[in-house]
Amino acid sequence: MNIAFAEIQETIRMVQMESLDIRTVTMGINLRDCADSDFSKLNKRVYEKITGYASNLKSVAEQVEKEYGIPIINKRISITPIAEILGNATKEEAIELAKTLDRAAKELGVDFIGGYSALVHKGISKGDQVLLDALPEALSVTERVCASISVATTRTGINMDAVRQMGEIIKNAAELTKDQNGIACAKLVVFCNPVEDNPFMAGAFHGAGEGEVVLNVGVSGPGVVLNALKRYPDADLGQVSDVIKKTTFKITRAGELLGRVVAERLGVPFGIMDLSLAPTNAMNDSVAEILEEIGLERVGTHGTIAALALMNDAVKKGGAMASSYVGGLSGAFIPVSEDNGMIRGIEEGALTLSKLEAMTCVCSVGLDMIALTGDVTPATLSAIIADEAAIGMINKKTTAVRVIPVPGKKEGEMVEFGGLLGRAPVMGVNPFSSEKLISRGGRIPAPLQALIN
Amino acid sequence: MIFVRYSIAYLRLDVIQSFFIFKNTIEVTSMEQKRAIVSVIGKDQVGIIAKVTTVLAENNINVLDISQTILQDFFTMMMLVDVSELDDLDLLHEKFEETSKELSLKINIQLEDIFQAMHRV
Repeated sequence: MNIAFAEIQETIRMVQMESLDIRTVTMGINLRDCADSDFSKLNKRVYEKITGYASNLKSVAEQVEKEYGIPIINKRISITPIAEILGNATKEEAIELAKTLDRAAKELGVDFIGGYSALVHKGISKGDQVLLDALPEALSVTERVCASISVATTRTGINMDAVRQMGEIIKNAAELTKDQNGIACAKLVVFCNPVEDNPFMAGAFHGAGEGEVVLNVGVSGPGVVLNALKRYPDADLGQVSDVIKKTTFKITRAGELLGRVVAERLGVPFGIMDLSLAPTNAMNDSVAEILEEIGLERVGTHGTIAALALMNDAVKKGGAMASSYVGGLSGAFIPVSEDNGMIRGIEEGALTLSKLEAMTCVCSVGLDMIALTGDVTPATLSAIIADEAAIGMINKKTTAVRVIPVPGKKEGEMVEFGGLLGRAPVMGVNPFSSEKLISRGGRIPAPLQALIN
Repeated sequence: MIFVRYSIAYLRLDVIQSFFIFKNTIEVTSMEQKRAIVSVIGKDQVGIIAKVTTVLAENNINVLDISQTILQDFFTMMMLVDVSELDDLDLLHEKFEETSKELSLKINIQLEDIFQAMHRV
């Protein structure tokens, strides 16, 4: 087989000039066997199991990254939703467990551990309620623990009681970390139709259908796609789709190869490849800029959804052929604070909250890393979650809400979250109340789409 | 007679071209060996190949194939090397780091599987 000069150069160019990287290798670990009626035993077992299985995760990933010359940016861990092993633990004990997870993450040198989670899309069990009560404090006293709460699915409808609580929890978490611009909320995702094998944070958890331990991989590469498109300024939209498809194919193949090598060296089964295009604040590593390259003056203007739908679909088509096991969220992410193009769109008035909501209909995942004004009410936050959940429920897709009501900040101000989380302009919300809708409580019944048997 | 001579010269040129000028692919076949591709990119100057291959020789690494061109003053070289005997590429990375500083070149070494995965179905 011949590898052409140009092909070798293309790979090197993608890595060195276009920010191609493997965004994350995430080890999923089942913690069910750690459950115990004695909390101190549970606490100890959780720590030992995580640090045992993942002890070589960082070193092996770094070794593979060097040998293949493609950076693996994050090494992460996802675990069984914690609410499922809490049993009779109290709120204080649940917070203690969050600290244990944080300690394990620091010990292993992984940047995030996801799975401080509860699945309450139909009802709230005792353990779930303890976790919900513990959430604001748990997220404010830890650095690396990520939480996710499932409040709706297509098969069950929307649990509006949980949605109401989430509005209050987000508000509280922001208040508790007000000196850090409410950063606790950046580690909390509210889901509709969550997936069990998502390697991306903050929404990763090791689902009930997963095995003992597994390695999932998330690729990245908006920069590579952007640069590929720049080489075809006059192509029609069919060709644009084709260029994105071919580029994603290459990115995904690189990710799958590295993922499999890491999994093999760790002696852990390879799980899935997540095809998401995940932006970063690096120059040109932006999903918004891809949309602008396709032909928008600024992201958020008319045509944004059409361009996004085209891009998201092409990414999946290219990636699906490149990998034998596709899973996770697999689509384009549109986080605001992590994407320079999105930030510029908002600053220049092209991109609004309503447009972002509409965009979530055609891509994964949802309202992501959006800073809201500090005076937003819990009921409004709940209503934002309910809207997103409804979009996900009806369209049989994953949607999520990760918003940060930044205490004391007003519309138009800029807040810094630091690191991968980036910075975001504060957005205003609709001034009219949704209080009545949220206070009604109950469950929005599963839609007709659920009746597929 | 003139015609024949001309055609031989033409043929020779063609052979030369195919071997030296247009040889722009690297054979990748074996499954047994662990092999890597060393790529060198930078401004053309005297002694690049000598210095890079010296590093390889000092580390007892066999070169299996070399392909090199000069594009608009830019020297580019790809080498396929056998790294079966090498436990990890770290040492080589460090050695190349020195050479690349000295000659202000970009030198990469990557296991070849990555190129196969990305560019071949």
